[in-house]
Amino acid sequence: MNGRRVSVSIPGADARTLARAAQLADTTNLDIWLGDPRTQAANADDCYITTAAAAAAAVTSHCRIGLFLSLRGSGTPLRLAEDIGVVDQASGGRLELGLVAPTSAREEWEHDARALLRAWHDWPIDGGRSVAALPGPAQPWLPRMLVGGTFDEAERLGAGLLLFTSRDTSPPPIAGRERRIALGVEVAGSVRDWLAEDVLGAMLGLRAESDRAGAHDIVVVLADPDPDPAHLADDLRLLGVVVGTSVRCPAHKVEFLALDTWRWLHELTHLHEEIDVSESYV
Amino acid sequence: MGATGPLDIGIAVFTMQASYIRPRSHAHLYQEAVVAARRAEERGFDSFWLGEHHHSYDGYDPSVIQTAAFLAASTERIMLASGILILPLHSPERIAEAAAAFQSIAPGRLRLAVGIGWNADEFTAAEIDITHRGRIMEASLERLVAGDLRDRLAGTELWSGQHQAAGLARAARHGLGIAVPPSPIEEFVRIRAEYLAQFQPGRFDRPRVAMFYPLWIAPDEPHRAWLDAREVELLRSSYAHNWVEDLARGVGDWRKADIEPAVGTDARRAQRDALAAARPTQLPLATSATEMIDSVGQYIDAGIDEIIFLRMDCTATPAVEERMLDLVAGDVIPELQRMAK
Repeated sequence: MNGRRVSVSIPGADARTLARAAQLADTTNLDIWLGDPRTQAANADDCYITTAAAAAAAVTSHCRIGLFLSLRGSGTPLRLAEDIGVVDQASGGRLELGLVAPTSAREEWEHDARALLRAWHDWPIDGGRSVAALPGPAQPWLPRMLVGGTFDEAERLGAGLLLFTSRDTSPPPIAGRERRIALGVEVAGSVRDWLAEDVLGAMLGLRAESDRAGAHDIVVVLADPDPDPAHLADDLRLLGVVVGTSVRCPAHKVEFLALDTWRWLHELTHLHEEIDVSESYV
Repeated sequence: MGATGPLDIGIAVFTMQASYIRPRSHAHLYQEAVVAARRAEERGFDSFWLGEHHHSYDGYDPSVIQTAAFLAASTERIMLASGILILPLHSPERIAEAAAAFQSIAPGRLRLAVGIGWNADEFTAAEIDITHRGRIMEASLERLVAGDLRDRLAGTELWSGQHQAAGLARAARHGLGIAVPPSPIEEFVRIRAEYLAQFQPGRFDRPRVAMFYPLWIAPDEPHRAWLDAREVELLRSSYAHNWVEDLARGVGDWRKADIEPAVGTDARRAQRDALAAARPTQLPLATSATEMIDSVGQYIDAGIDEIIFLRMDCTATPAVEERMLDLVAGDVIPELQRMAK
């Protein structure tokens, strides 16, 4: 499988870092996910994330902006639906949702998730009346993935699934079931370190894993990002150019492209000097 | 101290409404607001105010801190302000988290002027008893100003949009600034004195008083009639989707059980139109820049800290509004700053 989309997530990062990362993603053909797919990191509250997303939307023009939402933070489903509608409009229709299922009280959580997704059309109030969360999203259908849930739950929410091989050790079979699958890949150190040891092996492994999962998308989660902005820029550049190229190309070209892009970025250029990011928003 | 002199100058209120008076795509309105905020910054305005309402057919902005973050990331200096954020409709944790994200992006550029709200449907939809809104407001302020959420709110200004006795007392008790609606000078002096007399250092260590003032200068009767007609139509469009009975009751009298005319009847339409025609008290529009300077000068003499020039989405056309802003920024504000020194 080729033609995959690559996005990056930086759990725990503050809104300023996320906005800068979104700018970098925009210039390196990546998409970005804000928040934490485990919803445990700092700065992962749903309302923190919708606010950071608004800033990310302002400083980007093309990249898709995903939001990992727990629905267990400071915002009710109604308020979150409004935030999502506003930020999707402000971004020109570039939001995606990552609905992170909790480990307990799943029925109540799913009820809230369904209420949120319905709120742009119908929010019952009293006496048979209903209102709506307006403005609704700019997109007629807001792409959404379920994190930490089952296929059946995803189907009920009209969502794809984000699978982590480290946690979901055996991706469920998908034979006969056409649905959107994303593969989550957690990188413990820097992207540079991940690729430096054996870039071709890493890329072949990533392709094989996403093939096994039937994944169209790859979400690289930087679990322990280097706080140095220049190093973060380097990592995003490597993700966009080396990883993006290597997972999108036909299988028979991986060997050349993985090595050539790595050599170009790591050995022939100074990574962060290639980045052109406006700082006008700070 | 404002960008152009001792007096702070604001521009309000941007609501993102795609009203039938001026239908636009919502996405376009947010881009238009970016342009307006940048232009306000270039013209020397210090603050850019956003309005909040919920469930409006025209998409009236329900998420002002998110919109403020979007505009802050698109500008460099101007303060983004809510006028007014309906605090009881949000958990204090939500306000604190959104404010923390904003401060990470644009430190020191968020001002939250909060109010208690009046629209019953907004409260019903949020499953909040509207008769408890004063209590909810108080509890939220306690946590945000001096309680467990104080650190998360660091760098964010807190103001009150209330100008009645209970609201002024609450603002003074928590050390908030106050943003007063357009008021005759005698009323402004009374409100300010009542607030100052009760002020205790809290969110601010000194009192801050701002007032909204109409942006429009209408040199003759045809201009005035044109602006009036558009404003009344804007109110009709707004009242059409709010429950007329809520407006008829007025703020703070929610237990009154008037029977309103049935939906779809001429009587109900007449009630709506009467409410629109008797729109909230406004100051008379100035007929010239000189008249506006003389009028605002009275408020400067009375100790005002900030003038917030008030426009509403759709009150005028964008071209008329641009001309008006040029006139106010070029001829009025420099003179006001000279008077304030």
